[in-house]
Amino acid sequence: MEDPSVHVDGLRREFGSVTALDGVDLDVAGPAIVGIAGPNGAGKTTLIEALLGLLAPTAGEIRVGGTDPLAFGAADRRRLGYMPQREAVYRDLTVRENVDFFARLYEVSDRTAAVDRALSFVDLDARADARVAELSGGMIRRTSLACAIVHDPDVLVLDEPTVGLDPELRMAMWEGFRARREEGAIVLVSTHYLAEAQNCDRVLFLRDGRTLADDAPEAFLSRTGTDDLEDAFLALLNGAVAADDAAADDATADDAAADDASSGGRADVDGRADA
Amino acid sequence: MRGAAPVARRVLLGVRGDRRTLALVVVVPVFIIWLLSEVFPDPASVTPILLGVFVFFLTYMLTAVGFLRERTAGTLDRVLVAPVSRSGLVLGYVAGFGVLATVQSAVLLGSAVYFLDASFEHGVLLFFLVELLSALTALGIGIVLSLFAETEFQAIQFIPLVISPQIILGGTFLPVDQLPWYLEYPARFMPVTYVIDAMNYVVLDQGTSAEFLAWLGVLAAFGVASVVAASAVLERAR
Repeated sequence: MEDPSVHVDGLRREFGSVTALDGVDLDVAGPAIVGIAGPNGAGKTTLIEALLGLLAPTAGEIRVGGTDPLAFGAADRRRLGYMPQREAVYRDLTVRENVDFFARLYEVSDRTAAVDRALSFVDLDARADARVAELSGGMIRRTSLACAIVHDPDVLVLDEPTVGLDPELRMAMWEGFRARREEGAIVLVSTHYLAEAQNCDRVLFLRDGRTLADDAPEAFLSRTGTDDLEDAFLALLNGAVAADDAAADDATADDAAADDASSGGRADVDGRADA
Repeated sequence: MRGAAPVARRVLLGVRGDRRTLALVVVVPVFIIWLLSEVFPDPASVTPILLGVFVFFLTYMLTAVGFLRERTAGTLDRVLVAPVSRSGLVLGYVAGFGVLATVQSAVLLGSAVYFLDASFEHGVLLFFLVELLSALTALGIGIVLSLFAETEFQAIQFIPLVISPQIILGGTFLPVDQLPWYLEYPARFMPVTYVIDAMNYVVLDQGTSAEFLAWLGVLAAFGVASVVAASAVLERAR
């Protein structure tokens, strides 16, 4: 099977008078963990839902595995795994029944083995027969992840998968995502825990629906002269604010932070150029 | 059609895991029929109405709330991302709730015979047929209306607005042709009217077989139209 790919070009999505995404680009070819980071309301979920064909773009182009998400056929859908931000499992079913339901929807062959694999991937074998309503929040998130991977997708899209999890569990989940990448998958993970982006090969940093930066975590650190991603993102955010001010004053970009933010990598420039 | 079987299976597993709903389907009808048998000295005339309205009402409630939960919990998005057709999803619901409606109809049938001394003039097979068509219509209406609700409470708020007028005007208290014209015409466009008409024929032999066939036809049309509407409003991409 060909390498998985995700291609987004000039994506724009409006909700009435609100522009949730404005000219976002993203290109991923081959296995990688790509973080989609940014503050609340940055457009992360909108981007994810557009990639999955749940939202139609107002403008721009999306291709996942070479296909427009709005034209996905059953074969394209089988290559996709999705873990929504919300709970997204059936509380009246057991853990196993939930995972088995998605295995059936995806017409997984050798379903029992696939469900067992997914359950042990999220370390829920022991609670497989517990009803979801009886589980802790962390276990529910893990059930949801098992549902997303049971059919062995090669593009895995996870919307804030680690929200509400304790640090140990978060680390375990990231290990899981790395394992998926080693098996050849693209893993797209949105997060607003900026420090978590350290685990990604690349991070698309959004703010107000625009690309603020798109780079490897190390590049963020060196560009901002920080040793912590949280600080690096704050520096970028502040730099962008300074750049906005500069633009408003019709001044040249003499602000050091703004200069710094727009100089490195494949960063930011689309978003800022329109500002 | 893709996905219909797993969705139907999931609906039924969910009910099995939810004891309250199970009780609502199996135990509550028995209790209500018993209560009515105690209150009405001669329950024969109300029996068809009870039998017709109960399954309609409950199927509406279960599908409206069930589908709303799918939407608010995020499972609907997840299912729509999977290789499932929209009609497959709706047909899965139809099959799952169809089984449930059949079970409930059987419970009602037994209770009506035991507590209300009901005799089915035209046989129990036609009774099941009318109940299933009634459930089909209620299911489509439930799915469509759930898309206009944001909370379970809002889905329940549709009951006085959409369900009660149908029960009041549909022949429960007064035959439809005795209603003033401005109520008779709306009543003719409400599925419950035909559920009650058809059930009156099945249980009490009211009306002719030709009329019964016409009522069945109208009910089937309502059922198909509401399920098609449910598939149509269920857009994959917003």
